[in-house]
Amino acid sequence: MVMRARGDAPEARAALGELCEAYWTPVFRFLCREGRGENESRDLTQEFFTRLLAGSGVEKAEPEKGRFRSYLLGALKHFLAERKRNAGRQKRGGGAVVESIESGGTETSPGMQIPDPGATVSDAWFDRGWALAVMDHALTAVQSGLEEAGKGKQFEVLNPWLIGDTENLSQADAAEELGMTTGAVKVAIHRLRKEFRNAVETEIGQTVTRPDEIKEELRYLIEVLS
Amino acid sequence: MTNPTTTSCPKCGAPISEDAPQGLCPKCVLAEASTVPEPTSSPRGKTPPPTVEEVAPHFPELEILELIGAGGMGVVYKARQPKLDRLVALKVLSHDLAAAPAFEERFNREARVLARLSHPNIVAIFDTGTAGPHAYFMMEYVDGVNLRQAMHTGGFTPSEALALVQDICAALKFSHEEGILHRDIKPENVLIDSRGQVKIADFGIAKLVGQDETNDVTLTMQGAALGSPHYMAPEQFETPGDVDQRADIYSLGVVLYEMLTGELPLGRFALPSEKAAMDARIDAIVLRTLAKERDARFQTAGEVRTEVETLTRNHNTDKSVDERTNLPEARDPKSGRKFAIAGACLQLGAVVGAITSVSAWTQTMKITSMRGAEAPAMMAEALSQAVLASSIGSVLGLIGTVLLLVALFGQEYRAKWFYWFMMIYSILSLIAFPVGTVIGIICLVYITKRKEEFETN
Repeated sequence: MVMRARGDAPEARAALGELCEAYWTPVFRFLCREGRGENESRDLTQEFFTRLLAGSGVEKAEPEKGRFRSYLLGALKHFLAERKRNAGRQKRGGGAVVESIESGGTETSPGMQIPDPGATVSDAWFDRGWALAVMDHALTAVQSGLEEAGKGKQFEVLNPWLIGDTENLSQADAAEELGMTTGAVKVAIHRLRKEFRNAVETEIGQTVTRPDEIKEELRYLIEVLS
Repeated sequence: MTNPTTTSCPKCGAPISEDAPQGLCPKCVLAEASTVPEPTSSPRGKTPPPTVEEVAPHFPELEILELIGAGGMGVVYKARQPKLDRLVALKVLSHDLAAAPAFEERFNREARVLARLSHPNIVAIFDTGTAGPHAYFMMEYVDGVNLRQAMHTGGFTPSEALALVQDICAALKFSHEEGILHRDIKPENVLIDSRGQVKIADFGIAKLVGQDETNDVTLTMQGAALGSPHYMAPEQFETPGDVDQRADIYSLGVVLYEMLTGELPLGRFALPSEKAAMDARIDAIVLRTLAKERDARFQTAGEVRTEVETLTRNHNTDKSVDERTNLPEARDPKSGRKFAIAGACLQLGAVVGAITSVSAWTQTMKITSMRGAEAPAMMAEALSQAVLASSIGSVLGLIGTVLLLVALFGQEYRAKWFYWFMMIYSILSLIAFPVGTVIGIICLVYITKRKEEFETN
């Protein structure tokens, strides 16, 4: 989808709109984390995306520069820096020349750095929020798929098994609750995990430029959660 | 948020933050999603399996959907048969096999036999034949997982494992009566569909593709390599030409052992009950299926099934209550518990009665030494108190005893607290009453002999 989102065509803009909508929360949380109030953060998030979507934002997400996550954080930082500068200028009475947030984007490097040792705590926080958003989207996708198939209850009862195998969850209880045999529950869990795995891959696939980056990105997201 | 909020992850124990989607531990969830799924079977050999596109032209009457498994014997595809609008599994045997001498004749002969196997626990064969260079089986598509995958999804409790064994035995009994051996029972060939029904796949295919009565060395070698050494009976290696239904029973034993313990029974293996909490009588069944000498094994799948049934019918074989083993004849552990608790309470009442009675008697004794006009009246009162307390105590004790005996012998209630309660009760009975002497000795001997039942239940 990052590929699709590149360029000025209307469909590119629509694709970018979708991506931004999906990752609104990590941006919002990042701004909160930096010490802003909820209302201010919400307005700022809105403004950021509005301006991002108004400019030809994704042009800078070149394949070699990688991930949409990194791009968005870079753009966000640039946007904040720009804003600060403008605020200063206004204070000094200068005319505010609103620059496109991409211009000179390279100086804040919207390209990508995998675990960047120099990254700030806030960067890690942004990535953590991103990981949660990926997980949330994948869960929602699987859930709505199952609900459409009339298996919403199955999702509710069995989703705790998405954490992997543990003795602390009772399949017998789940089987009783769902009126299934334990064998059928095992099959359903196996399938749920498979669907979730695919949903995560699809979700991450939308934010990277090459399929082979999916695994690497997922590994990184797990790392930032630790 | 559909889940009750838990404060810590049941897997890694880390606290779960409030923003975690669906209240699930994000790290464990994403880590699980990053695991490589258990392959349906591991591809062996150097040549990659033919792709869907390569196979499709040979099967114009099918829509080949995806490759679902590749093993030594061939490759399995999921396909749709538009004419009947149903899903089928297409097993395409490997080229090397089809090239073996007289393969086609043998293949056709065997296929006719296998097509006869129609049983709810056996994957049905719809069609066989050759298409281009491929010999193939068209089979019922089972929408589910194999036992290997199911073992990776949380494993099995002993009662679940025994329930599955009963279904596997039903399939084996049927096929053995039809004169067909499976020869390659292993977790990968035992499928569980989405309703929890067991379906055994690949009946007789091991023989078809490799082991053959002519005992051709190369073919046998091929067969041995194709089969799964860990699940094969000793005689399948030693005398491949002389193998009977007891070989399948051995393989079944390996599968059962693996379900119970998560390990293979290699070398001097530990008893299942040493590895996990379960009824020690399961050990006997496992050992009899795994006997090296086939004469020492169960002789038929029917025997195994009967034995397992008897065990599961009379006893809850593990800690969890499993509906499938709670057959109508099975005793309800809940009612045993009621008897035990009621009996225990009444016994405590009896003890209170006894204490009251003893203190009233002591009072009476004191009054005896008193002098005065009111002494006789006081004495009568104390005496009647003593008699009343002791009779109420005796009645409570008697009813309590009956309930305890029902719980112990009738309901076969086996809880740890009950063991210790009965131990104290028996000893007190021995000390206290002449009748109790007899009951006490009986109970004491009984519960001491069956101590392990209390441990495992």
